[in-house]
Amino acid sequence: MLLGLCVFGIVYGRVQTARRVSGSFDPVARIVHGVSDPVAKLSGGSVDFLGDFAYGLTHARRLTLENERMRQLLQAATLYTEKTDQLTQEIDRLRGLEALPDHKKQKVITDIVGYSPYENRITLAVGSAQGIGVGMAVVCDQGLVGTVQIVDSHRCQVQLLSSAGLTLGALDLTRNPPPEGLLNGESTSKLGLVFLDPEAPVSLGDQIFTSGHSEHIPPGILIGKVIAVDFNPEFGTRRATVFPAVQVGRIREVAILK
Amino acid sequence: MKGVRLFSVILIGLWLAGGCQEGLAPRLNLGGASPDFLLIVLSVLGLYCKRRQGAFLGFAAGMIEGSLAGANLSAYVLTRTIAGFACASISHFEFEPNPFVAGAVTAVVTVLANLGVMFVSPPGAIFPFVLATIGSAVVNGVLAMPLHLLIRRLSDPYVR
Repeated sequence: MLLGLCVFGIVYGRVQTARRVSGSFDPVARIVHGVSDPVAKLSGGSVDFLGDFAYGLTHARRLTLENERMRQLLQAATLYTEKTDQLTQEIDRLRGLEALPDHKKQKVITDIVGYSPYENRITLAVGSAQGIGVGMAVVCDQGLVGTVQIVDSHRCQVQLLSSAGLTLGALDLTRNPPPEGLLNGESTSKLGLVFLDPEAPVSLGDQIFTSGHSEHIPPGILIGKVIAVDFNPEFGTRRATVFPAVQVGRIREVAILK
Repeated sequence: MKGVRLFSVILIGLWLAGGCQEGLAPRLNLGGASPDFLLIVLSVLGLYCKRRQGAFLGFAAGMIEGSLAGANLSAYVLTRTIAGFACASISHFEFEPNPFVAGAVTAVVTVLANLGVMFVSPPGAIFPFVLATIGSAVVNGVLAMPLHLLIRRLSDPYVR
């Protein structure tokens, strides 16, 4: 009987080898694996759990410190990414300002240090010491921001385009010849442009630029885009509503054309 | 322990040992020595078997171990069948098996069975294999003691 079992084992071993060479399991191996797998998974999982648990108990202090350190690193990494994004955006804005056409004037690039949306003003960190004077045009890479209204030695205030007190000449350069008009602020998202010619061929989407009929504001600076056109037959005027190109709340740096 | 109870214990023992051999043994490796659960079950239960039963137990353990290992099935079947037969033969001597005897038998069986595998199917590096076998023999011998107590409790619940 012992010999029989041994002979059977040798013969079956050859069967197993032949099956293995052909890339498959023999029937007994398949059954054994199928039956023992649940126990193997359970026992292996239990040992892993106990091992982890024991490791947690013996290294609790170290793990806590490591966890804390990892959280700090994560926080630092997040802050670093935010800071990098901010700096990248700032570099892009400054590159845009540098790339602005100078309109035959000197550019003084400066930071906005204060913004009063209800007063339609921004405060800049340059003043008369840097050669800044009243009425100079303030621009950013998107277009005209406003004009300098008050100047101190190292500080100045700019009246924004959205201010009702600011009036300047504007041209619809989309048309040829370009119709001219006077632009006034109404709100942060709306400027009024009254054309001198009541028959001016203005339509929606036309781009409005500065006329240049001013000592300080050069021609060809983008102001905004026409979003509505009205005709008043009683007064014989054509009036356009212009959406400003510059959203002041989103910019951090500007250039003064002196 | 006889008849259906012995058969059930062997069946469950081999099943659990096979599972542990696959999932547990690789995780309990200490310096190359890891327990061989099938040999432990074979040695301890072999002490309660007759020779014929021991040979069949060894044959089954060899088939399982060879199938799990995926190689050298003949070597495992040969060595385990003879080991099972030998363990069962020990029970023919007139002595009451105790945990220490079970541990010693398991250690000796581990060494002989693995040396048998080494001769039938020689491994690449002999010396590390022998060292691992000695380590396994010690681990198996230690683990066989509580298993023997458990089996004895199962065979006779009134034993103190």
